[in-house]
Amino acid sequence: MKKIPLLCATTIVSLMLSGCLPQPFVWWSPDGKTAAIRTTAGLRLSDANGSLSAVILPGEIQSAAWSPDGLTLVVSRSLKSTNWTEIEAGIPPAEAAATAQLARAIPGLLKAGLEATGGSLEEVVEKFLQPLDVNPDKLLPAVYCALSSQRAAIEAAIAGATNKAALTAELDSALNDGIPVHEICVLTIRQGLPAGPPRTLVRSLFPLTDPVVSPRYPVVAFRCGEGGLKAMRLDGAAAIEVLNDGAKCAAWSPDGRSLVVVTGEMDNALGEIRSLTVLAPDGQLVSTAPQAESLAVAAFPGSDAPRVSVLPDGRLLFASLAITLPASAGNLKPTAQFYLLNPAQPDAAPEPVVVREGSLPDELSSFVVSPDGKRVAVVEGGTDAVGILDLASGKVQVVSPPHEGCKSRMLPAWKSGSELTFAALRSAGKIRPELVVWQANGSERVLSRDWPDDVVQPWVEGQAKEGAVNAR
Amino acid sequence: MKTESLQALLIDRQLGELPTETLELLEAWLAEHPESMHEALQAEEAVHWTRAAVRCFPELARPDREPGVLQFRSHWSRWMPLAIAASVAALVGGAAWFGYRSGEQSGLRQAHPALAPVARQQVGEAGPWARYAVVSGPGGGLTVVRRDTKSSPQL
Repeated sequence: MKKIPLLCATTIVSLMLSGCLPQPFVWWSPDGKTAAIRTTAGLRLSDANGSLSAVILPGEIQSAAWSPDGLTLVVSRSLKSTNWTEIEAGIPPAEAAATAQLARAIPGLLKAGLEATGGSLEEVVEKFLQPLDVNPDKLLPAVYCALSSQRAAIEAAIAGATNKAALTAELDSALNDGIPVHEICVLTIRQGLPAGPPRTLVRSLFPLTDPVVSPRYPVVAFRCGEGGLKAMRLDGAAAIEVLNDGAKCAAWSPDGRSLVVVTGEMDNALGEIRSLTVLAPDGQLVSTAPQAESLAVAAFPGSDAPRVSVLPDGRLLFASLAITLPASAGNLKPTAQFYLLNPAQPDAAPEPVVVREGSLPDELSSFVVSPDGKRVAVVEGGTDAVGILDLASGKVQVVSPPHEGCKSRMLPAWKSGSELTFAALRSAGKIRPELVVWQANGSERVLSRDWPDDVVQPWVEGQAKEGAVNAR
Repeated sequence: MKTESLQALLIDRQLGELPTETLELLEAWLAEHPESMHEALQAEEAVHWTRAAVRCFPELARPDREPGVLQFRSHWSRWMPLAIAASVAALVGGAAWFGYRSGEQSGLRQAHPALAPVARQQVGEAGPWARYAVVSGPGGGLTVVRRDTKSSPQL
């Protein structure tokens, strides 16, 4: 059935575009002794000396977050499944029921669409599904459910089609490919190793992404679907819906009770920074709608993946395109700038961070604040350079120079307040990224010398010219 | 009437998109061709189930996303003046960002014979980073090109 790849096309294009921006691959435990490493085969662990474990959690890892005590690792991942019965048993009953209900319409929809549009599946989407205003991302699980549970009805629906053989082949291919099932799961870590099997907190046919753990309470917040945001106790006993739409990213306030969220329309650079109180003073999830406060509006670079960080003192750091209107076309500059905002002073304007020495990229959507809130590590999608901004002095230090033709695809990760890990070419004569530990005293070391190529290669895109890489 | 034409009309009828005159003609035709009621019921059922599913599971409905149109919610009211200005900025920024992404993609096409080799400027305030500029495209509109190379790729 050609509809499935067709329906996926926009999603794939979107993923390809977002793939241009650096993504997180490494998450250090709060004590800096253990790192969770995202690889193509799943999640691995490394100790502080670079001793890499086997895969401890298979699947397509999306993100991870440590609890403040370093004993719990919360992971968002997806696994492909071809068994609808198992899928149905693992997802929330309401989601399973809604999917099954929509699946009942699929054979009729397919037949009506094929006949109405002359048998072309592109036209089915354009002239039939789009006028119905059905979201293809949501329809796909229903199609798979129907393929699994109503095969006879599907075959009857396409029986009269002139391209029946091709349609049947595509049906089989789609069924054998399976469908991704997303989950947020919890691993207990002891002495740098899992102390048991993963425990699933929640599963869904729709994305569950970007978990962040409260710094004070056993609660995780994560995005769900196309913009929902939920908060859930780590024991899975309770959960609340924080937002049902528009959530692009979230971070916890230092007191661990409020979420700072960037909300806005997808594909739109404009976003609102909002604070939502999701935990009562006793640490329990609130029983009513979270109290919300709008803090700022900004034009975020990388509109689909904005980033806001909360410093230990409660101030917010974010990057915004610095555009003053009106402006002539020749005076417009696609240049972003860091801003600091103090939520305790809601009427104060965001304060631009002045760079006094060195420079920052035009594109500032990929940054990570150190745990002590003193430094900001910056990479960009256009080069593989790595810089560190000292927030107090405004000095930018380039800790890894660019290599011609290479582009960062990995966000740096702070090991501690004075140690940063990032991907860089450091092997003389070899075009291979390494995980480098930079220390504030100026020294650096490589952790990944013995790691397999398939672990490190995704971190940098492109090929440096031979001889352009010097060992350090 | 061809089956395909009938199905198209039936679906349009279910969607409420038929002009009154066409609707009357269709219903008259169906009255004269009772053997076609099966198709009519099938289309009706398909649309019914889809609508029922969307009602029960509202996330199925594709959110309205007219490009460049900002939908303000009620809690935005006090931000309205700023938001209006920012939305314009966002439109420019969004366009610029789209262009930037396009430029990124174009920049990877180094095998293109029309593109000169990329060389980096390492001077002044530019630093080691990629630099971009907003330019007016040949057909109007704004886009972004990378400007830290000797010969920026044409978008």
